[in-house]
Amino acid sequence: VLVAIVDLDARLRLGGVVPIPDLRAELRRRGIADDAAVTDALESLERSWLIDLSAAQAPSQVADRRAGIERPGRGLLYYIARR
Amino acid sequence: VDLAHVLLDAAKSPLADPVARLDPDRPPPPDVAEVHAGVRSAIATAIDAVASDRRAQMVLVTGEPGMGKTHQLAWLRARAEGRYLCTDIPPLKDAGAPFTHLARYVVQGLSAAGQLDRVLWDTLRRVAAAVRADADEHGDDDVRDRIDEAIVQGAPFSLAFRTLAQHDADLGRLLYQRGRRLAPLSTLPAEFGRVLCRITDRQAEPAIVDWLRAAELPTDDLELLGIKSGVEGEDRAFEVLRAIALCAPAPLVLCLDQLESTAGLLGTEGVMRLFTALMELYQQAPVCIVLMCQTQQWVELRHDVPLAAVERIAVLPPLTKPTAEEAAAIVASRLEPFWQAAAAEPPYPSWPFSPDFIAGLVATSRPTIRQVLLECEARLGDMRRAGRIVELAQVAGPSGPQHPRATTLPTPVSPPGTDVEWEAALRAAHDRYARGVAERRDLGQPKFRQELLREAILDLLRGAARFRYQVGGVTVTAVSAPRKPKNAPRPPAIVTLTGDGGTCRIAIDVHSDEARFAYHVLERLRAAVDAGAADAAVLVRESDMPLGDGARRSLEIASALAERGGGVVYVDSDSAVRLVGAELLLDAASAAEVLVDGRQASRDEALSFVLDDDGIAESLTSLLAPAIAQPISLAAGG
Repeated sequence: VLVAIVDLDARLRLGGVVPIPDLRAELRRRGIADDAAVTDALESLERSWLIDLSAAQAPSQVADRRAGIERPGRGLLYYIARR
Repeated sequence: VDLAHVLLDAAKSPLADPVARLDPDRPPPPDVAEVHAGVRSAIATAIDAVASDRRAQMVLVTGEPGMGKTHQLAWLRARAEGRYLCTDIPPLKDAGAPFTHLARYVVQGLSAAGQLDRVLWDTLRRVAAAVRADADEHGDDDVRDRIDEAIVQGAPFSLAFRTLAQHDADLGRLLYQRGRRLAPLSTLPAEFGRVLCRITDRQAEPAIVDWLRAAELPTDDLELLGIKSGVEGEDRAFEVLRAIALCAPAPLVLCLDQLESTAGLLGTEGVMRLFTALMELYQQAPVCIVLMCQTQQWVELRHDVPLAAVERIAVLPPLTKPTAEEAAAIVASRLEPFWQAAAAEPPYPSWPFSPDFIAGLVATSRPTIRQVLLECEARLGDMRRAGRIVELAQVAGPSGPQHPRATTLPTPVSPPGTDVEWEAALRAAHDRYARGVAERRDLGQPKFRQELLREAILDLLRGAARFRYQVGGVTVTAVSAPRKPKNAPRPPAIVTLTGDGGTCRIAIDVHSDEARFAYHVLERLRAAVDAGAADAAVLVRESDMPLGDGARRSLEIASALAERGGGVVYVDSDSAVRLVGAELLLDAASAAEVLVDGRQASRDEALSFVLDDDGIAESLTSLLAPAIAQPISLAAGG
């Protein structure tokens, strides 16, 4: 997952912020279709302080809300920033 | 020392989180070395590059709201100490005039900070030195001796040079004639150089600052400066900006916070215009541009920003969430001044918030810096109200073991407040922003805040139109604010009102500059009525800037407008400050910086609140008086 984040950031020149839906799409291209597993992996990476998951400030305006991660108290986690 | 009493007796909670933007003249909240060190270092490196290479730099910092973007800018200002000149640029709200906007706030910011005089006089001192050297080389003893009467070498003496040079009012003309082919004058835009050299004439000096900030000067002031027109067009505003950057003895740093506000108000096109302007500046002037934007907004905006700009911006990695250690250091930094003042030594620096408690908080909710402070402030507030400080040992986290002396706290989400509490909190926020406007040097003068007052009035009227809000019994149905043409003054806005008596269109503009300058804007208002674009016209001025007897022509037009149901409407200083405070509140809400009851108030919620706020409603009613049959205070009649 971390490799895919780095690749996406470099390839699309995202400036260090990778939208979670883009990551999911990239992982699907690489044969990883289990969204729940990806969510678990992202949360694990965050607990390990390798990434920050950032909430969308305007959740109603994001392109693919369902591909984000809803977390009560934190909002719709939608972006990944590497630490 | 009783530690608890230190916290209980403090007049203000140590963890209250003032919005740094409000108080640029006061020290910002404490900085913590290990937090966002990379950002500080990157900005410092960019400024150093401008200083050493005279090459422009552009740095973009992104982060979630509450991660410390504005705090970084506040400290950038505080750390300047003459090594660079920092100016704050509010969000652009007229896509037609990005350079005018940038130039106005650079000039006003430098002027309010007392730095503009030094920039101008130091440049003239260097011009004088160049002319003297040239005269010396060519054996022109008269010129050399005349300059020797005034010149004091060295940048620290630029204001001593001013005192001496102004004994010889015509010295500037001589310096222009003899110096325009010599550096530094030869490197500056010709018109700027000509105006600058008039500064030795005491009468011309104030007019120079007004000219630089794009005020519409009367003909006699223009004659005093030896020019025919003011800084009306974008090209001239650009030249002013470039010239100031070239003249500045230290790097000029332009701080643009809340890029998302510009995007929210002007959309994609506005952002494109802003970045295109910044790119032009970047290519031609040695400035350091520091941009701040919310992460999500930047992800969306960057697709619209010209590729050439994206390639030149140093986009720093997004500000990272604080680790447990960083969060503890931040809390400790806020408490430290209180311990120091009381000569107290707590068992650990973040007492009563134990490292375990803060670690639990961080692990549970991965808070932003602001959320860490708000969580701790909420708990400290409860303790202060209860009159008892309790050490917090640990928050029940998802995985951490419970400490034997743990105090398990409810989840850090505030209970929903009542409407009354919500309104009180928003009113407190509005009061805070209004107080900030009154106290800020760069907004303390009516002429410096007139643009923000105009934006405030139009934004509030637009909000009233959108919400079909009644003002003094009539409905605001439309607000049209034409974009400033590239090389001409901005036309007045047109407000359409509908009431029982039908529909009325009012041309409206704001002008709180010198009374002598009001003539042009009044002419445009009259022209709007004459051309049938409006039924009446209103000029809003602050009551501290009355149109006195010296503004005879302006008074004549004001009387003519009054006969047609309009005229000059005066807003008292307090109302003006509250209106501008409302505008800053709306900007802050757009940037997700208005937290009420533990959640962010949206721009619409803040707008709805201020429209219902009595003071604002009264102010808007008085502005629309011509259409709603309220008495208006005309200059001629008092």
